[in-house]
Amino acid sequence: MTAQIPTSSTLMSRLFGPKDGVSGLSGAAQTAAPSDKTAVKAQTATTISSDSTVITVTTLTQKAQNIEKLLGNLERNIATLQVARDAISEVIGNIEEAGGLTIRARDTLKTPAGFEGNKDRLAELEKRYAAALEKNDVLIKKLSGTGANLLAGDTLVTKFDDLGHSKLETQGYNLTAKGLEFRTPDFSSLFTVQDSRIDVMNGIDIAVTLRHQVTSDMMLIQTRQEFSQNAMASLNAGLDKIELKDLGDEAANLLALQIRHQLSESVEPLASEAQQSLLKQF
Amino acid sequence: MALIIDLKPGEKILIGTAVITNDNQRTRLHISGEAPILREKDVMQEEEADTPCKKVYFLVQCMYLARNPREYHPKYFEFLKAIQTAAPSTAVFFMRINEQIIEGHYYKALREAKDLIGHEKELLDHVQTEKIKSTT
Repeated sequence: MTAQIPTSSTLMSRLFGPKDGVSGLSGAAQTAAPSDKTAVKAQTATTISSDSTVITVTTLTQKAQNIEKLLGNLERNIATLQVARDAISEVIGNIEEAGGLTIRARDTLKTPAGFEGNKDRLAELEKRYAAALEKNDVLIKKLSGTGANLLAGDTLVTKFDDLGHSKLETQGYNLTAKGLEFRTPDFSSLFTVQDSRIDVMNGIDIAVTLRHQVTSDMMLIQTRQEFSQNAMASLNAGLDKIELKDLGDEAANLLALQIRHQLSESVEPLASEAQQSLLKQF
Repeated sequence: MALIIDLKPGEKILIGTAVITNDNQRTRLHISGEAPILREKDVMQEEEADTPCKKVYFLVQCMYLARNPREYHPKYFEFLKAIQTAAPSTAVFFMRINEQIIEGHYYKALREAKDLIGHEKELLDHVQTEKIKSTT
């Protein structure tokens, strides 16, 4: 399927010029590429549709298909990140629960009866502390086998092009008790309870940092996803209207559009306030 | 690898959310990291965006500088649709601009947008030429 569109020297250089050309152009179009700018200029002034201006709609269709494929990958990775983010929140909850138990152990040790008078209670707290961390290990294990498990230290790679030249790597962290280097709970003294407390604080810090990273990467991918969806729609819309062949028609339409915008210039500014003030510094 | 930029005396450059003005001698900057970088010659002020395609350039510039580029997507696509409907030949330029934005290469997208402005200028010049021809 081919259609003809108007040309300009800028367009010609975009299609055939020194920068990487639009892939998928027909052989005829490529061989008919003008060899110098003068020739293109002359052509621009006079020619509306000739063999050299034939653009295969296939090119745009191909791009739309590429974006569609990309969207599928983005969607999968967003889902992975969402699952990871929710799971990290659960992990943090469990570590906080363990942290609460260390406080109770500390308070118990500070009572007049001390360790000797509270052995059973402290043993029970130790057990519950270990169980809280065990819940994390089970949860993280459950996430394995469904692609990258960021909570086990895997890396999720999100590609934004076919070749993977543009990609985002989300580096996970092993949030299991072993990965976070939690020590075996020992609530027999204030000193050893404090060790567990330090482990809890470190664990929470690491998990919160990871959740922040995951959320931030997810937002970035969602932004690109939304843009890609719109870009695909616009590519398809462009394909539908590509039959217009007259350079004069296009120019007149653009001029009309420009005038329309100038007449409705009362609309609010394009840039946000922050950007306006930044740009004013130039 | 650091980006190397030579600044002329008095030249300004935007790095991240700061504008740096060079003193009265040439300076070479080595810049590493991910912050947006815009040279004075590439900066477009909103009042300079007086054609549809210049507005597209301005919006891509805003996306590049914004913490959340998403806020500019609706306006950008609104212009894209209007321009593409008026001049379908711009589809090729938009395809390339969009590709760069999707890949996160806003600076390259700006370069593509400059080409779109060039295309628009040629089209509009064509109208003027035809007008002159018809009046003579």
